[in-house]
Amino acid sequence: MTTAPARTAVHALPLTWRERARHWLDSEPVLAYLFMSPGWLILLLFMSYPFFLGLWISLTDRLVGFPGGEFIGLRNYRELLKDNVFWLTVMNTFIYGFVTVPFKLLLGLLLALLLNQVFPLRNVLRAALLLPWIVPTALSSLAWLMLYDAVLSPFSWVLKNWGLIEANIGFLGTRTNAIISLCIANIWRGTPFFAVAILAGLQAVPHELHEAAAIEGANAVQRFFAVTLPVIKGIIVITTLFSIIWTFADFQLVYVLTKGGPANSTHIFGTFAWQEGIGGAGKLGMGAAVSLYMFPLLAVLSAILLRYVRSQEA
Amino acid sequence: MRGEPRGHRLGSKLTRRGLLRGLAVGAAAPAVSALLAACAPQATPTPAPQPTPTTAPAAQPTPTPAPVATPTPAAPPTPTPVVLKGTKLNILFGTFFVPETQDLMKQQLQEFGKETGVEATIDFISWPDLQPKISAAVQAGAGPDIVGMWDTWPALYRDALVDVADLVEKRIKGEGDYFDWVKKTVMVGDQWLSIPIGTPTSAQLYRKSLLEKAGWPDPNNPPDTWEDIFKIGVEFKKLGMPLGQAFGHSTGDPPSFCYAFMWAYGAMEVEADGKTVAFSKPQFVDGMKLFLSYWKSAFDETGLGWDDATNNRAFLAGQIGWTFNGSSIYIAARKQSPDIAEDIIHHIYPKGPAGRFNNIGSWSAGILKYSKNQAGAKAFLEWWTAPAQFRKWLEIQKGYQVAPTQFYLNDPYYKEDPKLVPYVEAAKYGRNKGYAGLGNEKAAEAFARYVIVDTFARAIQSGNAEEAIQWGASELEKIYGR
Repeated sequence: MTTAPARTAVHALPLTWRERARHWLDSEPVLAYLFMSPGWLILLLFMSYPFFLGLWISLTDRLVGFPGGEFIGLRNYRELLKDNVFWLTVMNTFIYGFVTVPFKLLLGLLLALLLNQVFPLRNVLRAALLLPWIVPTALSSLAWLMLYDAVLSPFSWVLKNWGLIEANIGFLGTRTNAIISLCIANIWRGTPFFAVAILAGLQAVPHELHEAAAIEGANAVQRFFAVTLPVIKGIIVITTLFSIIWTFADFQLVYVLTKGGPANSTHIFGTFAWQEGIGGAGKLGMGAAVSLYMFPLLAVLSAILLRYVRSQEA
Repeated sequence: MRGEPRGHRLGSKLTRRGLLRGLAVGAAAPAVSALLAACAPQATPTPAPQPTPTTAPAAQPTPTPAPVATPTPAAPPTPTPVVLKGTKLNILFGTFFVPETQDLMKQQLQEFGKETGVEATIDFISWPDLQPKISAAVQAGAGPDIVGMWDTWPALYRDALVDVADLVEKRIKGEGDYFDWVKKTVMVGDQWLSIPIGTPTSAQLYRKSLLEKAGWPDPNNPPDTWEDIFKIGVEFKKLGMPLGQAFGHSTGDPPSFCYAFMWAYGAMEVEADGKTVAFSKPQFVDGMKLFLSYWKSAFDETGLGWDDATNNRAFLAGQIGWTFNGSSIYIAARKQSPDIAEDIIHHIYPKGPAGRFNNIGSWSAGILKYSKNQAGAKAFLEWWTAPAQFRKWLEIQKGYQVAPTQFYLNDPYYKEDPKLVPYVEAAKYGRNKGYAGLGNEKAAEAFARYVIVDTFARAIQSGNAEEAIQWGASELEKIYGR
C-alpha cells in the first residue's frame, strides 16, 4: 500500500494558520466559551461595568455635572458612619424589609390556599389578585398617597364619620405613622407575588397524597403541615428571599409617599442614596457609597438563594 | 499535496457544528469590536456643521396693550434673532400652578417656530422631579437644550451651562437692572449662566370671616407678627380651622415658612463670609420654643406630612383658616368657589424680633453646553424674554410670578386685583437662600437636603428646640465648613 505513508507524510507537514484556527475552534471547550461569550458580554456591559463604575464613583468626590472627581478613598463611607440619618436609614431599611415580608408571606399563603379551592369565578379572582403586582408601582403609590392624604384621606373621613376619631390622621406626619403606612402599602403590593407563586406550587401537590392522608384520619391542618407544606417549602424559601431582596432595594413607594421625610425619618437605602446623589447637591460619590452599603447584605441573601436553588437541583 | 482537510469544509458541506461555530464567531465579532470601540480613547468630536445663520425674518412683536404706567422708557425693539431654520429645540420647565401658563408657553413656542423655522417643543414636569431630570441630562450629556431652574441651581450646574451674559446685557439695557436678590441668586460669581425670569412669591392667606369670628379687632388688617399669628391660630383651631403649614420634604411651602421664621428670629445659615454658620442663635431658640408652644394648640398637626399641594386642598376644603402660599389658592378659588375667593385676605410675611423677611430668589432659564442648537436656544431666550413675549407670560400668571426687574412691576396685571398686591410687595423683603452669603451651590445643598425644614420638623417631633437647632447647625457646618 502506498497511500498510508503518503498520508503520514502529508500530516507531518506544518499546519497553516487557517487549519490551526479551525482545529482550535473545533475543540469542545473553545466552542463552549464562544457560545457563552455573548452572555458574558451582556453581563460585563450591563451588570459588571455599572457595578464597578459605581464602586469607583463611591471612592471619589464626584458631583453631578462636573467631570471626574478626585479619588478620596473611603472618606464617603467613613462620613456616612458618622451620619445619624444614615443609621436611621439602616434601621428603617431593616424594619421595612424584615417586618413586611412575614406579613406578605402569611397573607400570600392564605390567599393561595383560598384560591386553590374550587368556587365560582375562581379564575377571575386569580387574575384580579395580580393587580397590585402588575400595576406600575409609581401609579399604585400615588393611589396610596391619596389614601394617606392628611386632608382628604378616605380612611380619616370614614373614621370621623363613625365618630372614632376627631381630627384627621397624619398617616405620613410622624416617623412611626409613616413607617407603618409605608409597610402597609408595601404589604398590599407584595402579597400577590407570594400568593401567585405559592398557588403555582400548590398545583404540584399530588391529590392522591391528600386523599391518602384523609383516609388515615388527618384533618385539614394536619394535611397542610404533613402534605402541602413539604411540597411548597422550596417555593416559600425562594419567594421569601426574593421578596427580602426587592424590599431592601425598594425606592418608588417611599419616594412617592414621603421622600424620606419628615425630618429624614423614613429614608431607606434607595431614597437616601437618591437624595445624596441626585436629589440633593448631586454628590454622586456619596450617593454611590450609600447604595454600596446595601451590597454585602444583598450579596449574602443572593448567595443563600443560589445555594438553596442548587441544593434543590442536586 | 497538502492532504485532506481536517473535518468538513464549511463551503463544501454544511455541518451542524460548522454552522454553530460560524454563528458564534459571527455574533461575537461585532460585540467584541463594539467593546473595543467603547474602550478606545474617545475621539475628539468633530464639531457639528453649524447651520448657516440666515437673516431672520424680523420677529414681529405681537402688539400688546401698552402698560398703563411703565416707569422706565419703553425698551428698544428686540434685536432680530438669528434663525436656524429646520433645527430642533427642546425646553424643560417645571409645571406652573397657574396651568394656563403652560398653554401660553406652548403657543409662544409655536409662534417662535413660525417666525424662525425652529422646531421647538417644551415639556413640563413636576417640581420635585425637575432637578433630578436636569442632573441626569447633564450627566448623560443629552437631553433638553434649555432648562428652567430654581434660584440656586445655576451654581450647581455652572460647568454645564452656556454663558449668556450677552443676552442678559441686552435685557438690562432694555428693561433696566435686575433686583439685588435676582443677582445674588442667578449670578455665579461674576458670570451670567442663565437668564432671570423672576419668581413666584408667597404671602399669608386668611379667611376674613374667620378673623371676625375669632374676635380679631380689624379683619381687614390681619396679624402682622409671628406671635400674633400663633395666638389667633389658637382661636382658629377652636373654631375647627387651624393654621395649616407643611413641614414635609417638599420644595415650596415648607421652606417658605422655615427660612422666613429663621431670619425673623435672628438666625441665618451663614455670615456674609459664606463660611461661618450663624444658625444656633439664642433668639432663634426662643422663637422655636414659642412656635413649639403653639404647635398643638394652633396648628393642624398633620402638617408634618404635608407637601406643597396639601395646604391648597385644605384651605379650599375649609379645613384650615390660614396658610402661606402663592396666589394659586386664590386663583383656583376665583374659578371654583367665588365665595371663598371673596373671603380670602392676603397679607405680607409677618415680622419677628429681627425684622420681616421672606425667602426669595429668581428662577432662570439656562442653555446646556451639550446642546447642539445653542444658537437656536439663545435666539429663543432672547425672543421670549423680550417685553413683547415676557409681559404676556407674566400677565397670564396674574401676579403669581414677580418679575426680575422693576420694569414690569407697575403693569396693570400686578395691580388690577388689590388682593394680589402683597405678592409683589414680597420682593421688598426678600432674602436669598444661603443669606448672608450667596445663593450658591452650598445654599442649594442645604436647601435640597431640607436642613432648615428638617430642623423645624425635628423640633416638632422631639419638642426640643435646642437639640433640633443644634442638629441643623451641625448639618450646616458639614455643608458650609468644607
